[in-house]
Amino acid sequence: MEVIDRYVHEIGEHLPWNLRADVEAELRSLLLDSLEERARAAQRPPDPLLAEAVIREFGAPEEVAKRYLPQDQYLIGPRLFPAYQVAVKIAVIGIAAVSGALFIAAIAGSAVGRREGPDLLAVAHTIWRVAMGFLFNLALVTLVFAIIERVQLRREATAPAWSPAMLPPVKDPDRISQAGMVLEMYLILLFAVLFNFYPEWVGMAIANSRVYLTSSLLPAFATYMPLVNVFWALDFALHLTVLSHGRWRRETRAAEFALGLYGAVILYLVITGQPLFRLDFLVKAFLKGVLALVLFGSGMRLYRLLKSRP
Amino acid sequence: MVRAAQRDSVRENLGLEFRRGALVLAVLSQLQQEQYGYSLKKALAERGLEIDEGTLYPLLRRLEAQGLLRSRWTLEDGRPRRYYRTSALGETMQRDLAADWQSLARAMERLLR
Repeated sequence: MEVIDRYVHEIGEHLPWNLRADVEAELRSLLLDSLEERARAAQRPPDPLLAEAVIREFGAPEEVAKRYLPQDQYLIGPRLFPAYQVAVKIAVIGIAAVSGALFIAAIAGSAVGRREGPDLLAVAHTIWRVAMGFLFNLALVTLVFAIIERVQLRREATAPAWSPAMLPPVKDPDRISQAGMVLEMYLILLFAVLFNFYPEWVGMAIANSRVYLTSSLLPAFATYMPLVNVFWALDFALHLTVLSHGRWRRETRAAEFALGLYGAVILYLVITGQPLFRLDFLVKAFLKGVLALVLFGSGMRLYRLLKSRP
Repeated sequence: MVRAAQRDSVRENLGLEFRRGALVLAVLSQLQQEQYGYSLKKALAERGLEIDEGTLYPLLRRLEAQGLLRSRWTLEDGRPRRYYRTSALGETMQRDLAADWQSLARAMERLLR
């Protein structure tokens, strides 16, 4: 019966490939059983009208397919969703504030010294840039939350049964702030994507009503990117591991210390190497400050590690 | 009018909620003997439990994925059919759930008296 074949095929289109053939075969057989029964009750041979009645009873293809899918499949589950909403709101407000400033600057800049009014093309250009930045940030926030959702599901599947002995002390230096971890992971991804794919955005400037994307990075900076990328990848993996543990452990603290040293080495190489930035002197002065902070942080971490030695 | 519609919707959801749990036990109880989807639907209906196909057939696959049922394909009159029956785990689970059900039914009987 052609209508049954079309119906079964349509359901299959909404199923993952590994389920498709099996569910289709079973559904076809079940639909034909129902059709036969209905034809017997109507005392006439099966026909398209009866087949349509059977199909109508089964329901819309997407609905039927949904019931065959594993349950509780979502990108961001109900437990993380409130935090996700807050993060999205913060991202929206933050980006809206920056966008508003850019927009006003673009209009004001274009109106200065012109009698004919603002340069609409420049304004449209700025709006387009801002909209892209907006979508890009929302996508990054969503990606980070989706990763955390997967990590937490895995953690729950392997977690031992809860007992009161597992309650952490009130003052617990190893407790993690989920929101803080999310923010840090978002920033790592943001920097990684920016430096690797949109280096021209590192150093945005507004002048003459346009948002100019003149990179602050000189081409020589590319030689350091492999080192920096390894740092970001390791840092992201460390954050994921800590999230999957639910708290800092001695080994993750040690990894954090080692990663801090690795970061300090990269900073040292960048600072002492050839010119890498426009306004190289200023940027490197800033990086020297960052290096001092990184070394101080690593010292503190080492102290805490040694103090907590079992 | 809106209130009546809301009340009906709440009533339907509550009814569906406690029916959903009972369906697993009903299905396990009828699959001590091997049956295919449509024959199982009829067997349940004959005993007063109407269940629509869109709910029953995916449920069979879920129970199989959980190891409570096993299935095999056979060819009957040139048509492939998938037969299900309870696994050893499914039988144990059916006994446990039946005991839970009876205990719950007794408690509810006392509560509603």
